[in-house]
Amino acid sequence: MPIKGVAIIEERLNAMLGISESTDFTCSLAEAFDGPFYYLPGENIWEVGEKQCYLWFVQSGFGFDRILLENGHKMLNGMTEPGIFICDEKSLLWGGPAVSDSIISSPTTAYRISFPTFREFLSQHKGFRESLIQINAYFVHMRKLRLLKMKHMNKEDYWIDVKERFPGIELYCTQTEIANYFAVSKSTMHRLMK
Amino acid sequence: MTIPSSEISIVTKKIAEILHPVDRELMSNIRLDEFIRIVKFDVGLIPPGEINLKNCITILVSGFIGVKHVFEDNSCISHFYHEGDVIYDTEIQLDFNELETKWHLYEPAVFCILPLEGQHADKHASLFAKLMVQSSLHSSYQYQSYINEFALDRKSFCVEWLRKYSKALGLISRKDLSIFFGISMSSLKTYIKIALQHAN
Repeated sequence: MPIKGVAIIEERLNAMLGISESTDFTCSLAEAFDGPFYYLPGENIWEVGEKQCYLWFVQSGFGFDRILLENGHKMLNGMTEPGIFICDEKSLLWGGPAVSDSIISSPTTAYRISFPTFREFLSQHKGFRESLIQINAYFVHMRKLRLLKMKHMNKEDYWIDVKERFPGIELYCTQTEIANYFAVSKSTMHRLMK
Repeated sequence: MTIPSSEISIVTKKIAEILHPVDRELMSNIRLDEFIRIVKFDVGLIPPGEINLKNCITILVSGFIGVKHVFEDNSCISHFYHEGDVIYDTEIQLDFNELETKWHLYEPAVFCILPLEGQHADKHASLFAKLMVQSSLHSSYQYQSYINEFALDRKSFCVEWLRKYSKALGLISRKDLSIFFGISMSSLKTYIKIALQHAN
């Protein structure tokens, strides 16, 4: 992997952990990533059902990730953007095939580490395990906010908010996927998008 | 306080389920009940910072808890914890708690708490390192599952939920329930009727 990729991953890890200088564990984790991998618009970084899953670091490019719901529909779940670490969380937690996908909407460069390698890394680095709690506390906060917006925010305001957050969303995701993101019916979504 | 034997297997099973399947064998020769403590709470609100379950896995052995937040100046419940649920205090810790999240205990609650740090954790370092990682990831993944549930067909979700947790009708106000489901009071009334009809 080019030095540049390692340095960017390391820098991003340090920022997430709120530290100004690299530690042994941020350095070793960054070095354990493979890549770069290049994707063109319309390609998937990973797909639903994929058995060999990875934790990805997106260096550049944009896209969307979607999650498969119990009823078989896909729900838009978030945006893939530069600087993000992203993966199929269910597979990371308990193995099994991916229940989500990530589709790219602009040329993308990404790096990856396999789940077994990442899990092994976590078992060996106490410092990183402790930091992971802090990182996940932030994710809990973000998801809490997402859940409450989904449940209680005025849908018209929410649509304006989402369009600003995910420019061009309606070009890349189906109305059903977006309606699921908002937890509204397709007809309500159609009205909101007019 | 010791754990009643009837509950040991439930609690141990729940903890095993948090682990990745390849790591579950690490539990085979360890009696976790020796390290678990029981804490009881009375009915009422537990404000942010009131209890510290940091670096612990907590199983709600009995009780019914609503997770309340303040969103756009309104109090609302996003989800509930029921008997057998794994709970983490990440959501009520003071860090990142701009939404003033707190637990509302609608029934007296019994928590089984497994601390992930201490001498016992050092002694079984491999298992507890895995539990630490999994519990950390699990705490945020649980919120993803609440999001996924809410994106499903609302009527089916409400009716199934009301059927499964019919005791909630005697504990939680209709207003709070309608806010939790994100539906009008009249829809709630209809769904309660459907749920109770099917229950009979």
